[in-house]
Amino acid sequence: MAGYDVIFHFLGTGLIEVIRLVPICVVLSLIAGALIGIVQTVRIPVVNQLISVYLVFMRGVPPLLLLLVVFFVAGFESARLSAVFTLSIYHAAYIAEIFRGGIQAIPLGQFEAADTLALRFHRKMIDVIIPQVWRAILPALTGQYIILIKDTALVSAIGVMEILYNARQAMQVVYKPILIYAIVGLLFYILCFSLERLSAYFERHLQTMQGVQ
Amino acid sequence: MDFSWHIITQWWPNILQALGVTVIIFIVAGLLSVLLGLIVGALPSFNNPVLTAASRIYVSIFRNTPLLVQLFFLFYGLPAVGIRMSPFVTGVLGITLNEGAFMAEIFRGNIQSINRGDWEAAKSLGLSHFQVLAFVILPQAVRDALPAVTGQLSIVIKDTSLLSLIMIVELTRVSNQIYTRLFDLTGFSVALILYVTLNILMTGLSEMLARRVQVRR
Repeated sequence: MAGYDVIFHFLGTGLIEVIRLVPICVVLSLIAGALIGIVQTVRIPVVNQLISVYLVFMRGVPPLLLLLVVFFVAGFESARLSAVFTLSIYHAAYIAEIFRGGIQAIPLGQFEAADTLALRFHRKMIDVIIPQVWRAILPALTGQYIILIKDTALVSAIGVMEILYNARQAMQVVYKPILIYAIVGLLFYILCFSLERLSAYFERHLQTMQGVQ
Repeated sequence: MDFSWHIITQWWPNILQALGVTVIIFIVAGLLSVLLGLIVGALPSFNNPVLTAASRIYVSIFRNTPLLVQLFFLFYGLPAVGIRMSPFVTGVLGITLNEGAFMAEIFRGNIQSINRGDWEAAKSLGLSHFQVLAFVILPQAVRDALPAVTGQLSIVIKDTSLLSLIMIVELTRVSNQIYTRLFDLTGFSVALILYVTLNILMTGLSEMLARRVQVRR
C-alpha cells in the first residue's frame, strides 16, 4: 500500500508544527495570564475595568473568528506568528481568571504576614503568594492547556501548516478521509490524554502535599 | 478595524440570516447535547460495568480530540462510506456528539455527589433503579449542574463558528465573505459584537436561573 507512507509523511509534518506551536503559546499565555491575573487582584481603578472588558470579550468571541480577525487586521509577518499571538492572548484571558481565583483563595493572613515583613510587592508575590497559588491552580492550568492543544486545530484556517492542513493535503493524494481523520484524532487524543492524566496526577498529589481537603 | 454603516445596511439581510443560522444551530445542538449528556452521564449510576465503560470511552474520545477534527471526520468521512447528510445535520451532529461528552461529565459528577442515602431511601420505598434516578436523583443533580451546564452552553455558541469551515453560512462565514468580496473588516466587527452580545445574554440568563434555583432551596 503506497498510500500509507504519504499519509504518515504529511501528518508527521503537521504534528511537528503543532509541537512547535504549543510550547510557545503555553509560555506566552502563562506569562500574560499570570500578569493580568495579578494586576487584577490589585484593583487599579481604570486598569481593572479595561481588564474586565478584555476578559468579557475573550470569553464571548469564538477562537476561529479571533484568528481570522487578527490575521487580517494585525498584519503579522507570517500566519504562524499571527496564530501564536492569537492563541496566546485568547488563552491568557482564561489563565488570568485561573490565577485570580487562585490568588483570591490564598488566606488573607499570608498577605498580611508578608506585609509585616515589609516585603516589596513583587517579593511578596514571587516569594510568598505565587508558590502557593501555583500548586492550587496546576490542575486547572493543565485543563486549559488541553483546550489550547485542541485549538491549534483551528490555525489551519489561516494557512498554518499544522495537522489538519496536512490532512487535507494528504487527502488530495490518497482519498481515505476516514482513515486520515481517525489518525489525526488519535494524534490529538494521545497529546490531550497524557495531559489529562498529568492533571489528574497533580490533583491527587498536590492535595496531599498541601495537607488540605 | 473598519466599521461602515454603508456595508452594514447593504449586507443586513445576509447578516441577519447568518445570525439566525447561528442561533438555530446553538439552540438545536445545545438542547440535544444536554439531552445526550444527561443520558450518558446517568449510565455509570446503573453500576453495570459495560454501560460505565461505554460512557467513559465515549467521553474520553470526544473530550480529548478537537471538535474540528470530529466535524471533518463526519463531513468528509461519512460520504466516503455512502452516508450523505446535509452540512447542517452534520454540523449539529458534530457539536452534539462533542458537547454531549462535556455535558455527560458534568451530569456524572453531579449525580455522584448526591447523597447515597437518597438512593437507599428511595429504593427502600420500592422504587426501581430507573424510577429513583428519574424522580429522586436527577431533579437534584440537574439543579446542581445548572451553572456548569450554562457555562458549557456558552462554549456551544463559540463552537458554532467552526461550522463556517463545513460550508454553513453562519456569522463567521458571512463576515469572512464580506471581507473577501470588499476587503472591508466591517463584517468581522459586526460578528465580534454579535458573538459577545450572545455570550453576555447567555451569562445573564444563567445568573438569573442560578438565582431562581437558590430561592427554591
